[in-house]
Amino acid sequence: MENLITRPEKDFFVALRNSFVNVCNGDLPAAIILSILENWTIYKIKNIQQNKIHNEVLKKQGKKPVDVGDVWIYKSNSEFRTDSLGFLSKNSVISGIKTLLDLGFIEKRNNPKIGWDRTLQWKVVPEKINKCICHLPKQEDGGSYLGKAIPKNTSKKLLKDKRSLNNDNSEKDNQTTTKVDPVLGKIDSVNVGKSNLVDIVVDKSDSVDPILGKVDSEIYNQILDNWNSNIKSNQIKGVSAHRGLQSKLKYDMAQYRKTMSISEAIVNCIDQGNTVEDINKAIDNYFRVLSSESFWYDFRYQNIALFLHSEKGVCKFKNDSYINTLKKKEADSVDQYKKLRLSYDPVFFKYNSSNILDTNAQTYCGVGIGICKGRNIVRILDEINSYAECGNLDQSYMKMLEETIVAGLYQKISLDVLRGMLDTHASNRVFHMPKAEIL
Amino acid sequence: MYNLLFNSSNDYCVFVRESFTKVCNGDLSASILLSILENLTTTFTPDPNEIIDGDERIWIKQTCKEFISNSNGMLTANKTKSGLKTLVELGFILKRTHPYQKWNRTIQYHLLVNEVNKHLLAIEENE
Repeated sequence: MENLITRPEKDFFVALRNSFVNVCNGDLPAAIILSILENWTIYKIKNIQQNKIHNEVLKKQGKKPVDVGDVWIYKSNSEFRTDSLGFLSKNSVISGIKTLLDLGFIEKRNNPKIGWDRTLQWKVVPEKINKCICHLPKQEDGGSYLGKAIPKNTSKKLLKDKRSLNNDNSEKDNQTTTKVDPVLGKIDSVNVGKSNLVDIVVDKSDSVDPILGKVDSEIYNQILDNWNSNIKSNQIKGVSAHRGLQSKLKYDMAQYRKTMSISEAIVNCIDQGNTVEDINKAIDNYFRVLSSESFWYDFRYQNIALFLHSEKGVCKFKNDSYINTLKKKEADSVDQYKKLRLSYDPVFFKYNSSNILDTNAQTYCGVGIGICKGRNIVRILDEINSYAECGNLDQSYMKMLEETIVAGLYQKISLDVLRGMLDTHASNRVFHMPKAEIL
Repeated sequence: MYNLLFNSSNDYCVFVRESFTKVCNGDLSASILLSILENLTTTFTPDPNEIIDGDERIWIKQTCKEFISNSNGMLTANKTKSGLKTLVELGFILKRTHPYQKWNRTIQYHLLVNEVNKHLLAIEENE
């Protein structure tokens, strides 16, 4: 295209491409940084090619070859600001880089040769970016957004638009041809005629999400629907149902301020090696365990992101063998007495070491419960191992026990356990002659 | 140019040139607007009905929203206004409303290419 305005030699510029803004979820600083890094990477690649030629010449002359170099870019925050011609501020550079790192478009490292050098080095990951760019929807008016507002930062609209447009495009053109440098592994645009480039085919038939880059958003919705329907059908309390994929949810129990969207959580889960079938199976298994009384497991993940992010979530629940370990043992379900009693630590704060009731504590129970009663109850309880054995106790003992526990003097067993003991005793006491008083 | 990343022919691109920023006295918004107006002037297809009294100058109809859209979100409403003001003050653009349709409030801009080039050459010579 002919330029109206003259260009001075070595005119530095920042080119902000619309596709960059879109792949960076509308994050403008990220798009600008990506553009800067792209330019520098191109410069580095050219340098490498030049050095290779130079080395061949040196080799012929019998001289030692020079270091070819790599595509890592050494750049500080202030240099990014300078390269953006003052468009970026310090904080916007930080946030932009964070976005790019989160999206996996760039990698970072410290200087491998100089340990004390704290300036980070950056490397563009063109494969991932190209994949996203290839799947962006085409503009109707030839690319320009004349008269159309650019969507602001990330958000639902962009994701929604891309989801719908991606579905439309997936049927029309299932294959896109791009070119890859066989040496450097970088993808080049189709319209650049490089002789040493090899055609590769990027298959779109696996319906890749343009933003999140792994699976189609329909599958995300399917997973979410599975989660919501399980909550509804099993009537599980303490677990939240969610409306949309873009709901920001807490994903780490320890870091309550950090959130991520459901689609991000699903992608992370898939990145960890789980398939969509695994996730759906894990969700089904989790709710089956929660809803059934034959399982002792009752931990509630408050939301789907916590479940997907947790190491004990999808990874565990997708295995049927793990589900079997969560089943209650038969003995436990028959008689809870011993388990409950053992879990209840004996507290003798109202009895001294000789099981003698403290005089201070007597005010709680009044005159009715005396020292001997307390001593007897401790002795009796030590002999009981199950609810069934309560039937062997004397009626008066049970009465004493009830009085003592209700009065708060003996905390070795809870009121629930006491209730069970009393019920069992009531059903079995016909075999014993009731006594009016033990003392 | 060798492209590292996939470059669609439909991809819209905004350039922020250092030379434009210098010529606009460091006003980044003005330099972006100058870049947009240059692009629009280059790709302009004249409507014969719009030519008035033999005036064949290219007038670009552009609202504030359109400028923001064409800047890929780099401009805001206030930045656009201040940038346009700078360009008018520097004498790089002319502006007018529609000469016949009085109800049409969309302002039209004409880029004075020679004026910009003159300033650019002057800066280049000084350096």
